[in-house]
Amino acid sequence: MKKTLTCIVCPRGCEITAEYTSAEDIKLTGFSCPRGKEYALSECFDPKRVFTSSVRIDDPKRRMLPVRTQEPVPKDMLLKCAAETKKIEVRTPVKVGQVIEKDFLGTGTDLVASMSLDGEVADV
Amino acid sequence: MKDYYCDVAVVGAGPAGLAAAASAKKEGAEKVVLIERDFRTGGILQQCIHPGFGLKYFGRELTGPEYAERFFDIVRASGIELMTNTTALELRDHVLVCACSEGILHVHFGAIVLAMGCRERTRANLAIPGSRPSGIYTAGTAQKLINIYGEKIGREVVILGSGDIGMIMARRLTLEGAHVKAVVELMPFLAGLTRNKVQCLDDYNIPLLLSHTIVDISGVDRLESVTVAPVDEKRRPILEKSEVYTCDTLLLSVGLIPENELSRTGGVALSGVTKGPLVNQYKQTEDPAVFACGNVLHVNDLVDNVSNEGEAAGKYAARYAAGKLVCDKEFEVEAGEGVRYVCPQRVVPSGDGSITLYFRTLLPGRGTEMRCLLDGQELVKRKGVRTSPGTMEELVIPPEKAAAINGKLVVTATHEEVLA
Repeated sequence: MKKTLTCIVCPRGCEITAEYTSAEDIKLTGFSCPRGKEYALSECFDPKRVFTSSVRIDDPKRRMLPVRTQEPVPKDMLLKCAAETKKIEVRTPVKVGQVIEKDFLGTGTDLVASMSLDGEVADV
Repeated sequence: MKDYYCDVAVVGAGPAGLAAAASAKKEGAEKVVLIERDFRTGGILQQCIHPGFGLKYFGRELTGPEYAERFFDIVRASGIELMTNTTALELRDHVLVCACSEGILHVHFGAIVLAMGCRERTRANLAIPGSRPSGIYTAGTAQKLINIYGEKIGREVVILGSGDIGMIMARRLTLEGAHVKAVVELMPFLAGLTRNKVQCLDDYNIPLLLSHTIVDISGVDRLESVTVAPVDEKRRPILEKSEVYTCDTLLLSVGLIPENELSRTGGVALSGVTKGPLVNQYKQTEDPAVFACGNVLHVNDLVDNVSNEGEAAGKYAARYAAGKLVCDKEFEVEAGEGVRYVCPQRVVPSGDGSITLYFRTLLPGRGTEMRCLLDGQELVKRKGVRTSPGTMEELVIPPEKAAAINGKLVVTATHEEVLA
């Protein structure tokens, strides 16, 4: 099997070629850092992405709180994650990095807040 | 009317302004004020909830709000005066006229940093024919409505323009349950970063139509359809090959314009290409007390670069305010063959440290030889495996060569293979 991938780890976007029969027998060319190699391996056998969305919050100035998974989740779980996020409601105050859902949908990683909101009407 | 006196005033508390204010303070400016028209700092990062920020600057992948909050924490801890809900109206005789809840405020400064960012081009900028129904948004407006206000904007979507925000919104809308029918791009190549095509379009099987454009919009109250046509090599639509896409929503991701209305009131000289101020490597405009950084200077593709520019602008603004920045000699930097523009447009040879020249190529290509010439002689060069106008490139002139500059610099880029 031969695949050409564009690395998404950084904006450089290296073109990586992967030739393989299995995870043990794989030849990677074109990457320029260890993270790129890791990405290419994962992309061939278990593609993952960081999931981000926003959830309802009771803040007076905005209706949504941005959230993310701490670590990447399997790519085929993204739509499921999105559907699940719609059910979540959070109350202020919340701190950046605060866990919103532990072990989000059994992915082994947490859904966390990506912004601090104090819920105050007054300006920051 | 009230008067306010400071060493360095920074206009705009997005990523550029936050970095500039923090850096001016760090450089020793005693009184630094950061002026923001919104009620919160962070600028556009507040609505950019996707990851991909901070890899260069913080060495880890952050979302926009996380990136902004890291900078805000630095600003808050360093004793910078933050004025939110304050709009800068005019720059008049080195006084910044602002409107805030107490009325008009005159800010007197030793140096000012312009960090107002940019805004999106709209349907009006493109003059797309057709009716004027609801359901047509710029990609950034759609992003704000969805990510901050939780609005549902539509179900069947077509996106015009392959800029990064457009592709990111294609993914976002898909995750929200909408059907994105196509991303339509006039040029034969992608406008945004390739990594965004991979993770935003390819991941969700969203078709990208290169060398296509929208030639008609129809719908009475709500958008009902758009007509998409391929274009020839001169970018003229081939109408007989056009196709109708039924949709209720059209997003426009067709470029950004630096927001320089304030700069113009102060008589700051602007570039016709970048639409931002003309600067030297200190981000100093042709008015020595005025500095500019971030997207108001030229549209960047990475926030990490914006932060770096902000840091430079803040640092040298602080030095200028303290009477410690002397630029007696300057040389022009020109965009040569294969290069659309170079920023800065001028360099000071007696500069401290290296000089980084940021530029964009005219066309995408492979095996790109990028050179900076001094009076026709090669000063520095670098080879890029792959370059594209959507990705900003840089050449770094090392300190000893930077100090010895004695003439005009020209930046060129030649591809082994053009990819267009």
